[in-house]
Parts: sequence; structure tokens; C-alpha cells
Amino acid sequence: MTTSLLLHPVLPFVIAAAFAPWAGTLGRRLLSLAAPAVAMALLLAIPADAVVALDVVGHDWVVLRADGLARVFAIAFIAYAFIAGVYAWEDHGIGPKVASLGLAGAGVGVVLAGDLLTLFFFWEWLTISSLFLIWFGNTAASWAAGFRYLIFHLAGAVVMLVGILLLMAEGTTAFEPMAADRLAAWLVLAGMLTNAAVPPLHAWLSDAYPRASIFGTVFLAAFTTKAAVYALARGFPGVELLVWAGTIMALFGVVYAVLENDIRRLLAYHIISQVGYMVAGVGLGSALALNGVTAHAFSHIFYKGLLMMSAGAVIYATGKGKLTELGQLAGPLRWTLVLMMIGAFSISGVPLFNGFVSKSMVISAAAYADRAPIELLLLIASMGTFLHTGLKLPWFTFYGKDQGARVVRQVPVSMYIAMGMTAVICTITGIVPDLTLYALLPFAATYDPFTAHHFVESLQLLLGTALGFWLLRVKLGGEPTTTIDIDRLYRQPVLWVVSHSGALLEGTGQQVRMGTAAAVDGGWQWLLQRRRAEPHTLAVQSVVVVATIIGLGYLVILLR
Amino acid sequence: MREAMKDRVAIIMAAVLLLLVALEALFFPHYQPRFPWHHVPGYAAMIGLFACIFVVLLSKKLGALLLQRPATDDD
Repeated sequence: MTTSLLLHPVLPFVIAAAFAPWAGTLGRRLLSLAAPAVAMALLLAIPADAVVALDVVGHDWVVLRADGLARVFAIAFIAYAFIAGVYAWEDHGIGPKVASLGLAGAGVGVVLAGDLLTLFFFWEWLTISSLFLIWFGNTAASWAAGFRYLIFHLAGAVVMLVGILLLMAEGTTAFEPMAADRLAAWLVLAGMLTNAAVPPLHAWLSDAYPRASIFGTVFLAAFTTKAAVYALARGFPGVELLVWAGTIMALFGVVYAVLENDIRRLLAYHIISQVGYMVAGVGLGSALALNGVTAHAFSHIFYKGLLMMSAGAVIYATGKGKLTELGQLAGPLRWTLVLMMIGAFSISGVPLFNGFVSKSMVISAAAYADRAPIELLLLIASMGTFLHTGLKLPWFTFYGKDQGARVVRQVPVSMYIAMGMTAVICTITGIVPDLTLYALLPFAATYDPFTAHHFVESLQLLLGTALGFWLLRVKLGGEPTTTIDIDRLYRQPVLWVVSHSGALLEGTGQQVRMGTAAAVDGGWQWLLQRRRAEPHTLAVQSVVVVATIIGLGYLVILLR
Repeated sequence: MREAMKDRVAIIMAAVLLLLVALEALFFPHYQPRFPWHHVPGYAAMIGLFACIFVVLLSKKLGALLLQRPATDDD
């Protein structure tokens, strides 16, 4: 059966983004909801076996493939784009609306791409849309972080493109499972791992996401990493490296989240941790593991969205986003607390929320593959998730000490509606997964999360963590510090590139100059500080050591 | 530890935790034990409690030694 190109679910996003600048405030708001609504209708109308290829410049661009795996991701992306559109109802800027429509469209484009060049096209579109959403944070810090984001992702893209070109030279651009047995495949894999934020290629995420506007972050959190998870699940299932990379990733975010003071950056580190489960699942490669990856990505898009939305609501209401500035807000922001807890219970795998039915699939898949250390380490990472997002974040935001944060403006109804919709999705998929999420899963593997032992095991893990938190809660409060991550290593080179390209950029507009100035200034201040305080040199050196160890670890696993 | 004994919240949590461990031991053992810890009732509770304490103390140590610096306006 042939499907017309005109039914491609990316088109509504493109058209809406094109008309948005001229549509007026109400028109833009409606477009940001209409685009996902039409896209969903188109996606559901496309038959499962539909493939659309376009012959342009002598290459068959397979622009549409909507089989089972692609469809689940596309459904989640489009549904989330709608909800995030509701959340951003009060965001009046033209730029952010266009960029967020572009981002959602690019995410859908990636998961529906049927060949590697089409994938690459949407992959870059994803980078550019994200970049603008970061820049629209409109602070000096967001301009500088945007430049770092850009250079990081361009480097990843170049590596991936070289890989794709080498594969083309071999005569194939099919986007199908590949064996990671030659340079070309490794390069494509490295590009995908960059977007999946696998350490040490992760720092762009925790660096940039918290610097967008609260609306921007809500969009950013959903698409890039999950599109990369899709690409890995499609292209590299069963690659052993990914099992360990994912497991290390799941634990990595946990350590950083203990230290983190910025509430959105804490959640960003937990994106890295949660995507770790998915990457590990791709590496395991069994039907159950890949179903687990798909299910967990689906769950993650909504619960992480809900957490970012509720964190955004706190920032909107109080103007503050650090644990050292918040506290005692449970009264004035009680509904935000309730909604944040639904997100926190979901991400932590509390029974009857969506994480319980999806994360456990990956952990069980590790057990069925007789991977004892993987199961154990992923269970430990689950502990870390609950510790931070389920306990530390809400406790120090809504209870803890009163540190002067007050509600200075009311959270708009539209934000509550969006959070409510997401919360409903998180709980419904957790209570009746068979009728919702499991019905969409692409691979032939059955799984029953509702066994008595699974309940008891999960509750033990959560309550044990809660007891540990309670005993140590004095140690867990935010500190007015910044955690040094691998981004400190490339801030200087980025600074160099940006400052030396200044001559080229001259005349391309005030904004580019502002960004350059911010990056230069940020880097300069960092240099000054480093000179003043010796420990920072030590810190940078220690990050080099950590990065080298991680790199050597991968090498050992590869050569084994 | 003595403070913990006076802490009512901690006592209630510990009691419920013990109840859950007893439930597991008596009624709901692991249905497909594969690894040694699957045979130990309460392994999940122990992972939760001890890994939590370990991770917090380790991370704080790492943070104090290596990974933290005072926040600036840039952050």
C-alpha cells in the first residue's frame, strides 16, 4: 500500500513553525496545539507497513517508516509535544514557539527516518532547534552554554556523518541493525552515543538544559536523548559495550545528583541516569530488553516531563531554582507538590506508576540474561533515583528550612492542566499497562510486572532508601556550590573557537555578538578564578583522570 | 544511632521495613532465584538502605575533595 508524502506526521510541525511568526499570540498558541493533534491523526492513519521514499539528488531518502518500534516513539513524542504546548501557553515569544515546534517535528522525523541520511538530516535539525531553545533562555549563561552545546553536537555529528559516508561507500545507507565490527559502524555509534549523553560525552546535557527558559527545558528534556535511544535500539541492539556504558551511566548521574543544588540540573543528571537503563537494555538486546527500552523511553518522556514542569512551576512562582533558596513551600504550592510527587513516584518505580512497569523490564532482562552485576548495579541506581527525585528534591523544595522563597506570582492554570494531563498518563500506564503501553510494544516478549514479589521487592528498596535519607537528611541539603563536570575541559577550547571566529561573525547580528561576549566573559572569569584558587586546578585534573578511566574502561570492554 | 532510636519516623520506617522483609521471607520468596542474593529475604531493603548511606557519604567525600567549587553568577 502506498502512502502519500503529504501524510507525513512531520509536515504539520513544519507548516505550523512556518506560519507561527505571523499568526499572532493566540494563533501561535493554537498552532502549537494543532500541529501535534494533526500529526497524531496522520500517524495513526498510516498503515504499519508504509514506507515512503523520495529520490532526490540520486539518493533514495526513506523519509517515512512507521513500523512498531518507530510508532511507539512517535506516539510518545507527539503526545508530549501537545502537552508541552499546553504548558507553554503563557510563553509569548515567537522564537521559542517556532523552535519548540521545530524540535518536536525533528524528534518525530528522526524516529520515522528509514535510512541513515534522512536520519542525519533530522538529527541536525534536532540540534539546531535545541540550540535556539537554549539561547532563548536569554541570559549570558544560556548564550555561552548554547555555544558549547553547538560545538559538542557538531563534533558528534561530523563523526557520525563520516561513518554514514563510509557506509555509503560500502553501498548501503539502510537504517537497520548493524554489527559494530568496523570503523564506519563505530563512528555512527559514537554520534548516537553523543546524543544519548553517555559519559564522558554527556556534559552538554547538564550544562545546557537548566539554562533554557522553564518552558524551553520542558521541551528539551523529551526529544534529543530519547531520539538517540531509538536510533541505538534500531541500529545497534546487542552491542556488548552498551550494557556497561548504560549501567555506568545509570550510576554516574546518581553521584552528581547528590551534590547538585540547582533543581533543574539535578533533574538533568537524572535524565542521564534514566537513559542509562535504556542504553543498557539496548546492549542486552533480547526481545524483553528492547521492549523494556521502548517502554521505559515512553514512560520517561512523561514522568521526566512532569518533573521538569513542576520544577518549572516552582521557579515560575518563586523566581528561585536552587535548593539553598527554597523550602517550606508545601502550603502555597501544594498542587505542584502533589504533581511533582506523581512524577517522582513514576521515575522511582513506585508500584502503580509507570516506572514500575517499564524500568523493571530492563532489570528483569538483565537477570534473564544471567548478568548478575548489571542487575545489582541497576537496582542500586534505582535507589539513587528515589533518593534524589523522590526524597531530596521535594523535601528541600517543599519542606526543609524556610530560606526566604515566597510565591511572588501565581502558577497559570495552563501549566497545571499540562501537569495534570501528564500525571494522568503516568498513572494510567502504571495501573493498566496491558491496555496502554504494553499493547504498543513492538517485540514478541511478554512481561508481568504485577507479581507479589515484585511489589514487596520494590517497596523494600524504596523504604530502605527512605530510611537512609531520613537518617542522613542533614547531609543532603543543597550547598551553594557548582559541581565540576567534564564540560570544564572543553570550555576553554570552545572559548578559543568562539573568540577567534569573532571576525567571521562580525555583522551577523547583535545576538551572536552578545553570545560571543558572554562566552568570552564566562571563560575569562573562570580562568581568573582558577588562578586565584589552586583546588580548581586539582579539580580539572581529577576530571581528566575520571574521563581517562572511563575511556580506558570502554577500551578494555571493547578489546575483551 | 542513639538519636535514631528516639526518632519516631525512623522507627516506624524500620518497623514497616522489617514487616516487608518478613512478608517476603514467609509468603513471597523470589519466584525465579538466579543470583545468590535472590535467596536472602530483604536483599532489596538492604540495597536501599546501605547503598543509600554509601552513595551519600561517598559522593559528599568526592564532592568536597574534587568536584565542587563555589557557585558564581554563571551558574
